[in-house]
Amino acid sequence: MRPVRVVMALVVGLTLAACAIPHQRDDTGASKLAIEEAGVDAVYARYREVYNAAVDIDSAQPLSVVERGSVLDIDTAAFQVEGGAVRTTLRADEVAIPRFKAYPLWFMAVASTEDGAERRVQVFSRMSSVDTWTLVASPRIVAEATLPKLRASGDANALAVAPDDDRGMVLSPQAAVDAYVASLSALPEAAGDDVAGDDAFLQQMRDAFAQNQQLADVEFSQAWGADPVEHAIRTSDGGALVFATLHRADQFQVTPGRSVTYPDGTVQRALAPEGIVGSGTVRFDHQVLLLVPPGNGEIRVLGQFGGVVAVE
Amino acid sequence: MRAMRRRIGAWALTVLGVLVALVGLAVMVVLGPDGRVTTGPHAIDTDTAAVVTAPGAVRFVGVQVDLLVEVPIDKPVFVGVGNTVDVQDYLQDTARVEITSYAAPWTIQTRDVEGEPNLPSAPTALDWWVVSQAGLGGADISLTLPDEPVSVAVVAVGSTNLSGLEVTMAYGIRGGFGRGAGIALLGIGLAWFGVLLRRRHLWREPDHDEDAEFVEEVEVFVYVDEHGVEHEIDPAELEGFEIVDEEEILEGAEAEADDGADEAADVAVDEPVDEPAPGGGASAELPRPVYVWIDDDGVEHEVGEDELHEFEIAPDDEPEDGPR
Repeated sequence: MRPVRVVMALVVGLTLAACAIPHQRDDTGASKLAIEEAGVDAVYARYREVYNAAVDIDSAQPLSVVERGSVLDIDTAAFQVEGGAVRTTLRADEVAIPRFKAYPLWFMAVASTEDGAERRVQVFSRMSSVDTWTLVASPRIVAEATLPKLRASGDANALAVAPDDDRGMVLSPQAAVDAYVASLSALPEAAGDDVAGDDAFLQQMRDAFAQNQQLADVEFSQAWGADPVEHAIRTSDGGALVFATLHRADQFQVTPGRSVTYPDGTVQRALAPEGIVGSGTVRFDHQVLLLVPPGNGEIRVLGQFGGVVAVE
Repeated sequence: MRAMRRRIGAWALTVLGVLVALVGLAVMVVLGPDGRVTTGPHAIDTDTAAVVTAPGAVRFVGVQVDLLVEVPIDKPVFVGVGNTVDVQDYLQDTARVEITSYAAPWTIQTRDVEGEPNLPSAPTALDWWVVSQAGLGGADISLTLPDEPVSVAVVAVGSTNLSGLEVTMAYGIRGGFGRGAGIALLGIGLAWFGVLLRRRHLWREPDHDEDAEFVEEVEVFVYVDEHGVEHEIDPAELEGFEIVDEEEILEGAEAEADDGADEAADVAVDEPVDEPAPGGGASAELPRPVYVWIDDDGVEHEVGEDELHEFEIAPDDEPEDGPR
């Protein structure tokens, strides 16, 4: 071999070896990926284990280990109905993991059951370094639904959006949820110029409202509210997917001597076997996945998971 | 000009190589054969339950760190390294000593942070430590610092505290001695390359034959006498001679050989000249003639040269059916 080749081989080889020499990081800011992608399977395995154990013993008590917030409330209420909770085979198909500078950490996953009949967009959150991962949002989407692409950021395949960040969008995630709640609260005839699109969830809620209003001898009213937004994720087109928990209160004023009753097998029946006599409130929680498009597009719900959580 | 630039580049490469080699040697000397430096034990005066490095205090990446923490009377103690986000969240409400800066081998600045006397959870129950160990009276860890912000935490387990804490640390580069040697070799290689460049060995155009040896070009001055014989002369004796170029002397030499003319002495640069191969010549390559006699049946019979006088020799270009 000619000397020039020997020297070049030596230089290349030793330079590559020298690349592994220790160095100082330029970036002193602390941050971390919410979870390593390999760890998501373990989170789901633990969730299935605990949830199915709860189903097997027909008690919602273990659920607090793996669920929190309105997901826990809705599932706990479902356990009040015989056959209301069934074993789950949910596992993550796609995962979106943002990077965070502080707790709480969270990640999003599109999960489906083994038979493909159920598909959900879920959020697992870890509130502090001493807490475990718990399911905090679980809106259901139709099996054939196509979610928008998400924006990656550095080594993270997703980018969290602050609730008050309205860059590139007509509304910030929090403002979008507030606007959607305003649309739900408005009478259908007054909701013509709001920013919410006329999606299936909005239509379903308006139908339910109209049905309750038609009850004889009942004065019906409805109120909507929302939890502060905690989880929003940037889409590649500059919009955002926003997870919101909506609270709905159906209030009944029933004429004396009459009552509002519910069919067997419903949570309302399980929580109020005698029905609503005099006055009462049925409280619902609805977890919705809201799409806030870039620019001035209409916000709309892509999926929802909800149910009765209390009858007072 | 071009040659000057090459020479400057060659010198620069040589100097750079020497410097790199010195750095490599320095690494080898500092780290020693085990590739690390050990310091301690160093006492850290505290009666809190935690000692932790502040965000940004640990900035190195790729450094091999071995840490031994010791507490008296076999108190349970825990030492771990985790992402700074995790460690800060874990100890944010706990009274602690924060190491705000560190300089090798052991110069630290600390500050006391008030908080709860107890930890929010047992450190051994957490799953996010990059590396950790708990023990009675002491614990040690070993890791290569990753490319992410990390903090080191020493935590008292249970209801004890860290009074009497001593820390011994070794740091270095995994395989540091070998890497130093590698850097030194790299420098030596560069320097050698520079030397080769200065000697112009590498400026020559590549030969067509890959295996051909390099032949050093030497200027030789010769004087050709009247018999065409060359005599080498010293360059100092060049005065008084007419200098002709290479082609002239070669052609002139041939002309002299042909016509035998007596020319004045010439001085020329001697270059290798292609010479005919030994034994080569047109006559040597002529085939031996073969003589044949053709009988009445047209069959050819080879005849030796000593028998030729018995036959009439016919030329080759006669018709085949004619006598030969």
